[in-house]
Amino acid sequence: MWSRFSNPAKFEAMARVIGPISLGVFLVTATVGLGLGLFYSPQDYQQGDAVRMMYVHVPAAWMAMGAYSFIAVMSLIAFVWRHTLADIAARSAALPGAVFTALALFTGAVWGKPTWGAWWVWDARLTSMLILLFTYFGYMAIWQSVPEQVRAARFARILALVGFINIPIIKFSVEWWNSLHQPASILRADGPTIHPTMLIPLLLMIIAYTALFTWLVVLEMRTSLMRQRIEKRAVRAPSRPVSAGMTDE
Amino acid sequence: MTSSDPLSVLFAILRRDLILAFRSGGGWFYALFFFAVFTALAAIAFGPSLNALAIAAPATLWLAVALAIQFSASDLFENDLRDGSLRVIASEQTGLMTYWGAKVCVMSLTSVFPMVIASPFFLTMLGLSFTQGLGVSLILLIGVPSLIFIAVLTSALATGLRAGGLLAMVIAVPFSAPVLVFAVSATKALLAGFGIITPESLILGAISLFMAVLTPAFTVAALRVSLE
Repeated sequence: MWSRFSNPAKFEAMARVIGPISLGVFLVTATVGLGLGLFYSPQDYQQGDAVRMMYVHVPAAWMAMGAYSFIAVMSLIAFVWRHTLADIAARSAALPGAVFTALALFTGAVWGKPTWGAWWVWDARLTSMLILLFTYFGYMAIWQSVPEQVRAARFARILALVGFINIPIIKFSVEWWNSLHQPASILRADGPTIHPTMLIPLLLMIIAYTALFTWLVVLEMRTSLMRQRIEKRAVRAPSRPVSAGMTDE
Repeated sequence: MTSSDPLSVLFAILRRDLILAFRSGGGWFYALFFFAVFTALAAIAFGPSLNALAIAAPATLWLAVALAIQFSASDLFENDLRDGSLRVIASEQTGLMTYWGAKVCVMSLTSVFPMVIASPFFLTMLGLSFTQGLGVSLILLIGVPSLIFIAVLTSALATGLRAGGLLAMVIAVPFSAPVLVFAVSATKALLAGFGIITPESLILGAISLFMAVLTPAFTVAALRVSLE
Protein backbone atom coordinates (compact mmCIF):
# COMPACT_ATOMS: atom_id res chain seq x y z
CA MET A 1 0.00 0.00 0.00
CA TRP A 2 2.95 2.31 0.61
CA SER A 3 4.90 1.08 -2.38
CA ARG A 4 3.22 3.72 -4.53
CA PHE A 5 5.15 6.39 -2.64
CA SER A 6 8.48 4.60 -2.55
CA ASN A 7 9.41 5.45 -6.12
CA PRO A 8 11.68 8.53 -5.88
CA ALA A 9 10.64 9.77 -9.31
CA LYS A 10 6.97 9.72 -8.37
CA PHE A 11 7.80 11.39 -5.07
CA GLU A 12 9.73 14.04 -6.95
CA ALA A 13 6.72 14.75 -9.14
CA MET A 14 4.45 14.93 -6.11
CA ALA A 15 6.92 17.09 -4.15
CA ARG A 16 7.02 19.62 -6.96
CA VAL A 17 3.31 20.18 -6.38
CA ILE A 18 3.13 19.85 -2.60
CA GLY A 19 6.16 22.05 -1.89
CA PRO A 20 5.01 25.27 -3.56
CA ILE A 21 1.41 24.77 -2.40
CA SER A 22 2.44 24.46 1.25
CA LEU A 23 4.76 27.43 0.93
CA GLY A 24 1.87 29.47 -0.48
CA VAL A 25 -0.49 28.30 2.26
CA PHE A 26 2.13 29.22 4.84
CA LEU A 27 2.65 32.74 3.46
CA VAL A 28 -1.08 33.49 3.23
CA THR A 29 -2.18 32.02 6.57
CA ALA A 30 0.83 33.41 8.43
CA THR A 31 0.20 36.91 7.10
CA VAL A 32 -3.51 36.84 7.85
CA GLY A 33 -3.10 34.99 11.14
CA LEU A 34 -0.35 37.27 12.44
CA GLY A 35 -2.24 40.36 11.32
CA LEU A 36 -5.43 39.23 13.04
CA GLY A 37 -3.63 37.92 16.08
CA LEU A 38 -1.29 40.83 16.70
CA PHE A 39 -3.53 43.77 15.72
CA TYR A 40 -7.19 42.84 15.43
CA SER A 41 -7.77 40.37 18.25
CA PRO A 42 -8.87 41.56 21.70
CA GLN A 43 -6.58 41.81 24.69
CA ASP A 44 -6.92 39.30 27.45
CA TYR A 45 -8.72 40.71 30.49
CA GLN A 46 -5.91 39.55 32.76
CA GLN A 47 -2.83 39.22 30.60
CA GLY A 48 -3.35 42.25 28.36
CA ASP A 49 -1.20 42.20 25.25
CA ALA A 50 0.94 39.34 26.58
CA VAL A 51 -1.75 36.94 25.41
CA ARG A 52 -0.65 37.59 21.82
CA MET A 53 2.31 35.33 22.54
CA MET A 54 -0.20 32.50 22.23
CA TYR A 55 -0.36 32.87 18.44
CA VAL A 56 3.29 31.93 18.04
CA HIS A 57 3.66 29.69 21.07
CA VAL A 58 0.77 27.22 20.85
CA PRO A 59 1.37 26.27 17.18
CA ALA A 60 5.07 25.70 17.92
CA ALA A 61 4.23 23.33 20.77
CA TRP A 62 1.69 21.62 18.53
CA MET A 63 4.26 21.11 15.78
CA ALA A 64 6.90 19.92 18.27
CA MET A 65 4.70 16.97 19.12
CA GLY A 66 3.29 16.59 15.61
CA ALA A 67 6.76 16.34 14.11
CA TYR A 68 7.79 13.65 16.56
CA SER A 69 4.64 11.66 15.81
CA PHE A 70 5.45 12.04 12.11
CA ILE A 71 8.96 10.69 12.71
CA ALA A 72 7.57 7.74 14.66
CA VAL A 73 4.95 6.87 12.02
CA MET A 74 7.53 7.13 9.23
CA SER A 75 9.93 4.94 11.24
CA LEU A 76 7.21 2.35 11.71
CA ILE A 77 6.50 2.33 7.97
CA ALA A 78 10.21 2.00 7.27
CA PHE A 79 10.54 -0.73 9.89
CA VAL A 80 7.66 -2.84 8.62
CA TRP A 81 7.74 -2.26 4.86
CA ARG A 82 11.48 -1.54 4.41
CA HIS A 83 10.49 1.72 2.80
CA THR A 84 13.63 3.82 2.25
CA LEU A 85 11.78 7.03 1.43
CA ALA A 86 10.09 6.86 4.84
CA ASP A 87 13.55 6.88 6.47
CA ILE A 88 14.42 10.01 4.55
CA ALA A 89 11.11 11.58 5.57
CA ALA A 90 11.72 10.76 9.24
CA ARG A 91 15.22 12.15 9.10
CA SER A 92 14.10 15.32 7.34
CA ALA A 93 11.51 16.00 10.04
CA ALA A 94 14.01 15.80 12.91
CA LEU A 95 15.66 19.20 12.59
CA PRO A 96 12.42 21.17 12.01
CA GLY A 97 10.86 19.29 14.90
CA ALA A 98 13.75 20.11 17.22
CA VAL A 99 13.62 23.76 16.17
CA PHE A 100 9.86 23.90 16.81
CA THR A 101 10.43 22.36 20.25
CA ALA A 102 13.14 24.90 21.06
CA LEU A 103 10.87 27.65 19.76
CA ALA A 104 8.01 26.44 21.94
CA LEU A 105 10.30 26.48 24.98
CA PHE A 106 11.67 29.92 24.10
CA THR A 107 8.32 31.58 23.39
CA GLY A 108 6.96 29.88 26.48
CA ALA A 109 9.73 31.43 28.55
CA VAL A 110 9.07 34.85 27.04
CA TRP A 111 5.35 34.44 27.73
CA GLY A 112 6.00 33.07 31.20
CA LYS A 113 8.00 36.06 32.39
CA PRO A 114 5.11 38.60 32.31
CA THR A 115 2.34 36.15 33.25
CA TRP A 116 3.96 33.85 35.82
CA GLY A 117 6.84 36.11 36.82
CA ALA A 118 9.46 33.50 35.94
CA TRP A 119 11.29 32.52 32.78
CA TRP A 120 11.26 28.89 33.73
CA VAL A 121 9.42 26.70 36.21
CA TRP A 122 9.72 22.94 36.54
CA ASP A 123 6.13 22.53 35.51
CA ALA A 124 4.95 19.21 34.08
CA ARG A 125 4.45 20.59 30.60
CA LEU A 126 7.73 22.46 30.45
CA THR A 127 9.69 19.52 31.76
CA SER A 128 8.19 17.04 29.32
CA MET A 129 8.86 19.43 26.43
CA LEU A 130 12.47 19.75 27.53
CA ILE A 131 12.80 15.98 27.55
CA LEU A 132 11.19 15.87 24.11
CA LEU A 133 13.95 18.21 22.93
CA PHE A 134 16.56 15.81 24.35
CA THR A 135 14.85 12.96 22.51
CA TYR A 136 15.18 14.91 19.25
CA PHE A 137 18.88 15.46 19.98
CA GLY A 138 19.42 11.76 20.60
CA TYR A 139 17.64 10.92 17.36
CA MET A 140 19.73 13.37 15.36
CA ALA A 141 22.93 12.23 17.08
CA ILE A 142 22.42 8.66 15.94
CA TRP A 143 22.07 9.77 12.33
CA GLN A 144 25.28 11.76 12.70
CA SER A 145 27.37 9.06 14.32
CA VAL A 146 26.82 6.24 11.82
CA PRO A 147 28.62 6.94 8.58
CA GLU A 148 26.70 4.44 6.43
CA GLN A 149 23.20 5.75 5.76
CA VAL A 150 21.56 2.33 5.49
CA ARG A 151 22.82 1.26 8.91
CA ALA A 152 22.10 4.65 10.45
CA ALA A 153 18.51 4.38 9.24
CA ARG A 154 18.04 1.04 11.01
CA PHE A 155 19.39 2.35 14.31
CA ALA A 156 17.31 5.50 13.98
CA ARG A 157 14.07 3.57 13.35
CA ILE A 158 14.53 1.60 16.57
CA LEU A 159 15.30 4.73 18.56
CA ALA A 160 12.35 6.68 17.14
CA LEU A 161 9.91 3.89 17.97
CA VAL A 162 11.06 3.33 21.55
CA GLY A 163 11.19 7.08 22.02
CA PHE A 164 7.59 7.37 20.91
CA ILE A 165 6.38 4.84 23.49
CA ASN A 166 8.41 6.74 26.04
CA ILE A 167 6.78 10.12 25.40
CA PRO A 168 3.39 9.43 27.07
CA ILE A 169 5.19 7.85 30.04
CA ILE A 170 7.28 10.96 30.52
CA LYS A 171 4.23 13.13 30.11
CA PHE A 172 2.25 11.35 32.79
CA SER A 173 5.16 10.81 35.13
CA VAL A 174 6.12 14.47 35.26
CA GLU A 175 2.51 15.48 35.71
CA TRP A 176 2.34 13.17 38.67
CA TRP A 177 5.68 14.30 40.00
CA ASN A 178 4.69 17.90 39.63
CA SER A 179 1.32 17.51 41.34
CA LEU A 180 3.14 16.23 44.41
CA HIS A 181 5.07 19.44 44.78
CA GLN A 182 3.17 22.28 43.21
CA PRO A 183 -0.43 23.46 42.94
CA ALA A 184 -2.26 22.92 39.67
CA SER A 185 -0.88 24.30 36.44
CA ILE A 186 -1.62 27.88 35.45
CA LEU A 187 -1.46 27.44 31.71
CA ARG A 188 -4.90 27.29 30.14
CA ALA A 189 -5.34 27.53 26.38
CA ASP A 190 -7.91 24.91 25.44
CA GLY A 191 -9.34 25.53 22.01
CA PRO A 192 -13.09 25.49 22.64
CA THR A 193 -12.91 27.66 25.77
CA ILE A 194 -11.63 30.72 23.95
CA HIS A 195 -13.60 33.27 21.99
CA PRO A 196 -13.77 33.05 18.15
CA THR A 197 -11.91 36.36 17.75
CA MET A 198 -8.92 34.66 19.33
CA LEU A 199 -9.60 31.14 18.08
CA ILE A 200 -9.60 32.01 14.37
CA PRO A 201 -6.13 33.61 14.31
CA LEU A 202 -4.85 30.74 16.45
CA LEU A 203 -6.21 28.14 14.02
CA LEU A 204 -4.76 30.10 11.09
CA MET A 205 -1.36 30.10 12.79
CA ILE A 206 -1.58 26.36 13.40
CA ILE A 207 -2.29 25.83 9.70
CA ALA A 208 0.61 28.16 8.88
CA TYR A 209 3.09 26.27 11.06
CA THR A 210 1.91 22.93 9.67
CA ALA A 211 2.34 24.20 6.11
CA LEU A 212 5.80 25.53 6.96
CA PHE A 213 6.74 22.16 8.41
CA THR A 214 5.45 20.36 5.31
CA TRP A 215 7.40 22.69 3.04
CA LEU A 216 10.62 22.23 5.03
CA VAL A 217 10.31 18.44 5.14
CA VAL A 218 9.55 18.15 1.42
CA LEU A 219 12.46 20.48 0.63
CA GLU A 220 14.86 18.53 2.81
CA MET A 221 13.66 15.21 1.36
CA ARG A 222 14.26 16.42 -2.19
CA THR A 223 17.70 17.64 -1.18
CA SER A 224 18.56 14.28 0.39
CA LEU A 225 17.43 12.41 -2.71
CA MET A 226 19.50 14.68 -4.92
CA ARG A 227 22.52 14.22 -2.64
CA GLN A 228 22.10 10.46 -2.88
CA ARG A 229 22.00 10.68 -6.66
CA ILE A 230 25.17 12.78 -6.71
CA GLU A 231 26.95 10.30 -4.46
CA LYS A 232 25.90 7.43 -6.70
CA ARG A 233 27.17 9.33 -9.71
CA ALA A 234 30.53 9.68 -7.95
CA VAL A 235 30.61 5.91 -7.47
CA ARG A 236 29.89 5.47 -11.16
CA ALA A 237 32.76 7.79 -12.12
CA PRO A 238 34.88 6.61 -15.07
CA SER A 239 38.02 6.13 -12.98
CA ARG A 240 36.45 2.96 -11.63
CA PRO A 241 35.85 -0.11 -13.75
CA VAL A 242 32.17 -0.43 -14.58
CA SER A 243 30.78 -3.77 -13.53
CA ALA A 244 27.38 -5.36 -13.49
CA GLY A 245 25.27 -5.27 -10.36
CA MET A 246 26.60 -2.08 -8.91
CA THR A 247 24.97 0.77 -7.01
CA ASP A 248 22.44 -1.43 -5.36
CA GLU A 249 21.42 -0.82 -1.79
CA MET B 1 27.35 -26.59 20.12
CA THR B 2 25.60 -29.78 21.18
CA SER B 3 23.29 -28.25 23.77
CA SER B 4 21.06 -25.57 22.26
CA ASP B 5 18.79 -25.50 25.28
CA PRO B 6 18.31 -21.78 26.04
CA LEU B 7 19.00 -22.12 29.74
CA SER B 8 22.30 -23.92 29.32
CA VAL B 9 23.39 -21.35 26.72
CA LEU B 10 22.40 -18.58 29.13
CA PHE B 11 24.44 -20.13 31.93
CA ALA B 12 27.41 -20.67 29.62
CA ILE B 13 27.47 -17.00 28.60
CA LEU B 14 26.89 -15.92 32.18
CA ARG B 15 29.73 -18.07 33.45
CA ARG B 16 32.11 -16.80 30.78
CA ASP B 17 31.26 -13.15 31.49
CA LEU B 18 31.53 -13.57 35.24
CA ILE B 19 34.94 -15.17 34.89
CA LEU B 20 35.98 -12.33 32.59
CA ALA B 21 34.70 -9.74 35.04
CA PHE B 22 36.45 -11.24 38.06
CA ARG B 23 39.76 -12.13 36.42
CA SER B 24 40.38 -9.13 34.20
CA GLY B 25 41.40 -6.47 36.65
CA GLY B 26 38.25 -6.06 38.69
CA GLY B 27 35.58 -5.32 36.11
CA TRP B 28 32.99 -5.85 38.83
CA PHE B 29 34.50 -3.07 40.90
CA TYR B 30 34.11 -0.12 38.49
CA ALA B 31 30.42 0.59 39.08
CA LEU B 32 30.79 0.38 42.86
CA PHE B 33 33.83 2.63 42.73
CA PHE B 34 32.04 5.18 40.56
CA PHE B 35 29.09 5.07 42.96
CA ALA B 36 31.41 5.72 45.93
CA VAL B 37 33.25 8.56 44.20
CA PHE B 38 30.01 10.22 43.07
CA THR B 39 28.53 10.04 46.58
CA ALA B 40 31.68 11.48 48.11
CA LEU B 41 31.82 14.31 45.57
CA ALA B 42 28.15 15.09 46.14
CA ALA B 43 28.70 15.20 49.89
CA ILE B 44 31.65 17.57 49.42
CA ALA B 45 29.60 19.76 47.09
CA PHE B 46 26.58 19.90 49.43
CA GLY B 47 28.75 20.70 52.44
CA PRO B 48 29.31 18.77 55.66
CA SER B 49 25.98 19.48 57.38
CA LEU B 50 24.32 16.08 57.92
CA ASN B 51 20.84 17.64 58.02
CA ALA B 52 21.28 19.19 54.60
CA LEU B 53 22.75 15.94 53.31
CA ALA B 54 19.84 13.89 54.59
CA ILE B 55 17.45 16.04 52.55
CA ALA B 56 19.54 15.57 49.42
CA ALA B 57 20.28 11.89 50.10
CA PRO B 58 17.48 10.26 48.00
CA ALA B 59 18.28 12.31 44.91
CA THR B 60 22.04 11.84 45.35
CA LEU B 61 21.69 8.10 45.75
CA TRP B 62 19.51 7.63 42.67
CA LEU B 63 21.68 9.87 40.51
CA ALA B 64 24.76 7.93 41.58
CA VAL B 65 23.10 4.59 40.85
CA ALA B 66 21.68 5.67 37.48
CA LEU B 67 25.00 7.09 36.26
CA ALA B 68 27.00 4.12 37.56
CA ILE B 69 24.73 1.66 35.76
CA GLN B 70 24.89 3.68 32.56
CA PHE B 71 28.68 3.83 32.69
CA SER B 72 29.19 0.18 33.48
CA ALA B 73 26.93 -0.81 30.56
CA SER B 74 28.79 1.33 28.04
CA ASP B 75 31.10 -1.44 26.79
CA LEU B 76 28.79 -4.36 27.48
CA PHE B 77 28.70 -5.63 23.88
CA GLU B 78 31.90 -4.10 22.52
CA ASN B 79 34.20 -7.12 23.11
CA ASP B 80 31.69 -9.64 21.81
CA LEU B 81 31.18 -7.60 18.67
CA ARG B 82 34.92 -7.26 18.08
CA ASP B 83 35.92 -10.89 18.61
CA GLY B 84 32.95 -12.22 16.62
CA SER B 85 31.23 -14.14 19.40
CA LEU B 86 28.15 -11.93 19.04
CA ARG B 87 27.85 -13.07 15.43
CA VAL B 88 28.15 -16.71 16.46
CA ILE B 89 25.50 -16.31 19.14
CA ALA B 90 23.18 -14.49 16.74
CA SER B 91 23.38 -17.40 14.31
CA GLU B 92 22.53 -19.98 16.99
CA GLN B 93 19.01 -21.28 17.29
CA THR B 94 18.59 -20.00 20.82
CA GLY B 95 19.27 -16.56 19.45
CA LEU B 96 19.89 -13.18 20.89
CA MET B 97 17.06 -13.14 23.42
CA THR B 98 18.98 -15.63 25.57
CA TYR B 99 22.07 -13.53 25.14
CA TRP B 100 20.12 -10.48 26.30
CA GLY B 101 19.02 -12.39 29.41
CA ALA B 102 22.59 -13.42 30.15
CA LYS B 103 23.84 -9.86 29.79
CA VAL B 104 21.16 -8.52 32.10
CA CYS B 105 22.17 -11.14 34.70
CA VAL B 106 25.83 -10.18 34.30
CA MET B 107 25.03 -6.51 34.80
CA SER B 108 22.93 -7.27 37.86
CA LEU B 109 25.53 -9.49 39.50
CA THR B 110 28.69 -7.57 38.72
CA SER B 111 27.73 -3.92 38.93
CA VAL B 112 24.31 -3.52 40.53
CA PHE B 113 24.37 -6.09 43.33
CA PRO B 114 27.50 -4.61 44.99
CA MET B 115 25.90 -1.16 44.91
CA VAL B 116 22.68 -2.37 46.53
CA ILE B 117 24.71 -4.07 49.27
CA ALA B 118 26.85 -0.97 49.78
CA SER B 119 24.02 1.57 49.70
CA PRO B 120 22.97 1.40 53.41
CA PHE B 121 26.55 2.19 54.42
CA PHE B 122 26.78 5.15 52.07
CA LEU B 123 23.38 6.38 53.19
CA THR B 124 24.52 6.45 56.82
CA MET B 125 27.37 8.65 55.61
CA LEU B 126 24.72 10.90 54.05
CA GLY B 127 22.96 11.35 57.38
CA LEU B 128 20.29 8.62 57.38
CA SER B 129 19.99 5.88 59.96
CA PHE B 130 21.09 2.35 59.06
CA THR B 131 17.54 0.91 59.19
CA GLN B 132 16.36 3.68 56.87
CA GLY B 133 19.27 2.75 54.61
CA LEU B 134 18.13 -0.89 54.55
CA GLY B 135 14.64 0.22 53.51
CA VAL B 136 16.06 2.39 50.77
CA SER B 137 18.09 -0.52 49.42
CA LEU B 138 14.82 -2.47 49.10
CA ILE B 139 13.41 0.37 47.01
CA LEU B 140 16.61 0.21 44.97
CA LEU B 141 15.76 -3.42 44.21
CA ILE B 142 12.34 -2.32 42.88
CA GLY B 143 13.63 0.47 40.64
CA VAL B 144 17.06 -0.66 39.54
CA PRO B 145 15.84 -3.30 37.02
CA SER B 146 14.36 -0.60 34.81
CA LEU B 147 17.67 1.29 34.84
CA ILE B 148 19.49 -1.91 33.85
CA PHE B 149 17.08 -2.57 30.96
CA ILE B 150 17.47 1.01 29.72
CA ALA B 151 21.26 0.86 30.00
CA VAL B 152 21.43 -2.44 28.11
CA LEU B 153 19.16 -1.07 25.35
CA THR B 154 21.07 2.19 24.91
CA SER B 155 24.38 0.35 25.03
CA ALA B 156 23.17 -1.99 22.26
CA LEU B 157 22.10 1.01 20.18
CA ALA B 158 25.52 2.63 20.59
CA THR B 159 27.61 -0.53 20.08
CA GLY B 160 30.29 -0.11 17.46
CA LEU B 161 29.71 3.61 16.99
CA ARG B 162 32.19 6.40 17.51
CA ALA B 163 31.76 8.08 20.88
CA GLY B 164 29.27 5.30 21.62
CA GLY B 165 29.35 5.74 25.39
CA LEU B 166 28.46 9.40 25.17
CA LEU B 167 25.71 8.69 22.65
CA ALA B 168 24.27 6.02 24.94
CA MET B 169 24.10 8.62 27.72
CA VAL B 170 22.28 11.09 25.46
CA ILE B 171 19.75 8.46 24.42
CA ALA B 172 19.25 7.22 27.99
CA VAL B 173 18.33 10.63 29.44
CA PRO B 174 14.65 10.68 28.32
CA PHE B 175 14.16 7.07 29.42
CA SER B 176 15.66 7.55 32.85
CA ALA B 177 13.56 10.61 33.67
CA PRO B 178 10.34 8.79 34.75
CA VAL B 179 12.36 6.22 36.71
CA LEU B 180 14.18 8.93 38.64
CA VAL B 181 10.94 10.83 39.28
CA PHE B 182 9.22 7.89 40.92
CA ALA B 183 12.32 6.41 42.51
CA VAL B 184 13.14 9.60 44.37
CA SER B 185 9.54 10.19 45.43
CA ALA B 186 9.23 6.57 46.64
CA THR B 187 12.43 6.99 48.65
CA LYS B 188 11.16 10.24 50.11
CA ALA B 189 7.86 8.59 51.01
CA LEU B 190 9.77 5.83 52.80
CA LEU B 191 11.86 8.34 54.73
CA ALA B 192 8.69 10.26 55.65
CA GLY B 193 7.42 7.08 57.32
CA PHE B 194 4.92 5.75 54.76
CA GLY B 195 6.66 2.39 54.45
CA ILE B 196 7.98 0.59 51.39
CA ILE B 197 4.66 -0.16 49.66
CA THR B 198 3.45 3.26 48.54
CA PRO B 199 1.78 4.35 45.28
CA GLU B 200 5.14 5.73 44.17
CA SER B 201 7.03 2.46 44.71
CA LEU B 202 4.23 0.48 43.01
CA ILE B 203 4.47 2.71 39.95
CA LEU B 204 8.25 2.32 40.08
CA GLY B 205 7.78 -1.44 40.04
CA ALA B 206 5.34 -1.08 37.15
CA ILE B 207 7.93 0.89 35.17
CA SER B 208 10.47 -1.87 35.79
CA LEU B 209 8.03 -4.51 34.52
CA PHE B 210 7.10 -2.35 31.54
CA MET B 211 10.75 -1.92 30.59
CA ALA B 212 11.26 -5.67 30.98
CA VAL B 213 8.57 -6.21 28.34
CA LEU B 214 9.47 -3.33 26.04
CA THR B 215 13.26 -3.30 25.81
CA PRO B 216 14.32 -6.91 24.95
CA ALA B 217 12.88 -6.90 21.42
CA PHE B 218 14.34 -3.48 20.69
CA THR B 219 17.71 -4.46 22.15
CA VAL B 220 17.85 -7.57 20.00
CA ALA B 221 16.92 -5.53 16.92
CA ALA B 222 19.68 -3.02 17.72
CA LEU B 223 22.24 -5.83 18.17
CA ARG B 224 21.27 -7.27 14.79
CA VAL B 225 21.83 -3.90 13.16
CA SER B 226 25.25 -3.59 14.79
CA LEU B 227 26.17 -6.94 13.20
CA GLU B 228 25.50 -5.72 9.66
